[in-house]
Amino acid sequence: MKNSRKVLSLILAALMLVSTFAFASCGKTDDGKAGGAYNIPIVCGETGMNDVCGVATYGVNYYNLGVAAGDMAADILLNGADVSAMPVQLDPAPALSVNTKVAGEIGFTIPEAVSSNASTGDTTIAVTPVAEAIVAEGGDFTVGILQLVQHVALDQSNKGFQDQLSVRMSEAGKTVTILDQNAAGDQSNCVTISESFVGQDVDLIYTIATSAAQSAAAATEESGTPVLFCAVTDPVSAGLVESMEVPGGNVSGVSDINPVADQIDLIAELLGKDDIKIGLLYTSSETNSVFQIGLAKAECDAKGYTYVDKGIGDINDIESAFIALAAEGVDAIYIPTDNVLANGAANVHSINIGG
Amino acid sequence: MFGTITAGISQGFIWAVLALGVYISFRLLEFADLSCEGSVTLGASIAAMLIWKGLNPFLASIIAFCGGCIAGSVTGILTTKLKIPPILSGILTMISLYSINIHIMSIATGTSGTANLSLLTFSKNTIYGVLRTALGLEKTYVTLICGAVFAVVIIAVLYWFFGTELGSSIRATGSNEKMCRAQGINTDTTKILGLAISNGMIALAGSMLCQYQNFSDVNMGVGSIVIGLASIIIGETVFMKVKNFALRLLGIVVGSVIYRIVVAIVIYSGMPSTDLKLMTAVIVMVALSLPIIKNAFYASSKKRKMRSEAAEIDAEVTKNG
Repeated sequence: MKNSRKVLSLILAALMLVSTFAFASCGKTDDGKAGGAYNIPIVCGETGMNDVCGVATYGVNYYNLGVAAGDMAADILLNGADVSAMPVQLDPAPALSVNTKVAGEIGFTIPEAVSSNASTGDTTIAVTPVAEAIVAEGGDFTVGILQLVQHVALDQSNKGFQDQLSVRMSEAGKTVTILDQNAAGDQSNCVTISESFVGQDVDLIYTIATSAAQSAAAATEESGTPVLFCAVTDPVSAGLVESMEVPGGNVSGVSDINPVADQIDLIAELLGKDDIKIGLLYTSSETNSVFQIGLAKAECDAKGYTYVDKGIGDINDIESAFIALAAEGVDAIYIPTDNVLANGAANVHSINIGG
Repeated sequence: MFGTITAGISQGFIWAVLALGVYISFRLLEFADLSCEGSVTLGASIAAMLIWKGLNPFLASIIAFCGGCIAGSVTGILTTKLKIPPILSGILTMISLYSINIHIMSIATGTSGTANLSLLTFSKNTIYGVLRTALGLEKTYVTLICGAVFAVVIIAVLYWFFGTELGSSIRATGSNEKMCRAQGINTDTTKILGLAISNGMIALAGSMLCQYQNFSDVNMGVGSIVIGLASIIIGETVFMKVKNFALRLLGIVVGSVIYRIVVAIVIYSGMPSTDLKLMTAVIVMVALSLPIIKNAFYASSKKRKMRSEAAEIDAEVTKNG
């Protein structure tokens, strides 16, 4: 016991020493920014994050993605469309939005050329849901919804899907029973829920997020129940579809890939120059983020921008990664669509403004 | 309903392998080993990566078991040789496995930072896929048969092993470490060995799980320790009076199957999905408190019996008096 205490206190002392050095070295590269305000313009992969910490971005609207998936579902159920031949859909028109509040706080002027292009108002597709088309039991069709975890964007995709499906059903004079399940972030539940849907003989399974889609795809191997996915960034490498154009199996859906290349180009437009250094901040364990960072690097290489990338392991790493990027002297930071960083968006902003 | 329950049972058999692994560290060694959450994913990542590389799935599962053994030994060495407290050693292994698992999965795809490895295109080359083609049965039944056979074989091997001199010394280490050392047993070695076997089995469960659900994900281990512990406790509650070691191991398999069936029923019943976690907690809570409720029930019925006997004596005394 005494020994272990000694070891622990030694480790603690070592950690303190290391962190003191780390802070000291950060202080040096900050050029006297004692308050820690970095004021680096940030471009995010999605509008939700942009509202908190970004200056401008092209946004994917998760409600719209859900609506697109709802249309696909209606085509399958009502018109007997073949899933294997339904191309994976993308957000039809990502809208440019600027955040003057954050820009003001970090003292960044958004160029007239960008702000005049920004769409005004909401880009959400207006859908008036028909409540009567969704019945608790005994509808003409049964649709199972499997959502990986409670999350604002994913909830939007769920709502958009149900709203649009109800509209299409009422137009056709049909009703649908929806079994809405959430795995609460536990992947073992995804499997159980998928098996349960197959056992209940549902007509279609709508899955939200990658591992939910993979579970449903595995569970429907024999039954061939159509599976639609949403909020999957790279369905090909997730093994869900053979290609974006021709899925080839019983799985298709809507990808939530954001226009990464456009967003990188937006940084150059915002800064008003081509000789720029971009910091890429992402969670290294999220396949989707890594995929987007790959696209971002490709775009940087194509346009001749220099870049530094910093991957984080979890939400506690945000500060050190941000400081490291600032120390590299980046002109702007790009954050892809990333669950961990979306949750830590407020943290990113407060580090940036030194608050 | 029937399909849901069979799926629940077949999943229960896979999780039983994990629960047996947790049982070795948690009950036999009295060691709360948190590396479990990393080892599940380690097993899954190794198996998925090797299957991607075209290796025989059975061989891949065995290699996954070995990988888990290494992870377990690391926890053991951290705690015995470096004297790091048990919980912290487990956590250290668990968090380092997070990065290691991503590296392992990255070997398959060739792109760094692969956190999710799909086996959907390799589903014919998993243990279940191979057996399905060989037996010509549905996936659920193959999983069921395969899981049951695995469970029986593992129980037999564990029963044999923990009966040997080495196995007994591992069990003795958990019961009374000081006494063990007094008998000339090197408890460091037995601890490391016990943790290696425990994590090996957990990794084996992970490899089976990933072949069952056709993908490996860096977060798939989250919550697995809770499922493992819940299975052990449900099993112990059901097989409360049993002293035989093999039957106690069987109890854990039963506990794991019961747990998955209950979760499947909760999901099937269509209750609001927000309450899923709460329901799971309630199930574990009920299982944990069952022995106490049972005892309280016995005690109160005994009291009542004694009271009625006393009343009878009183009545007799007054009659005769």
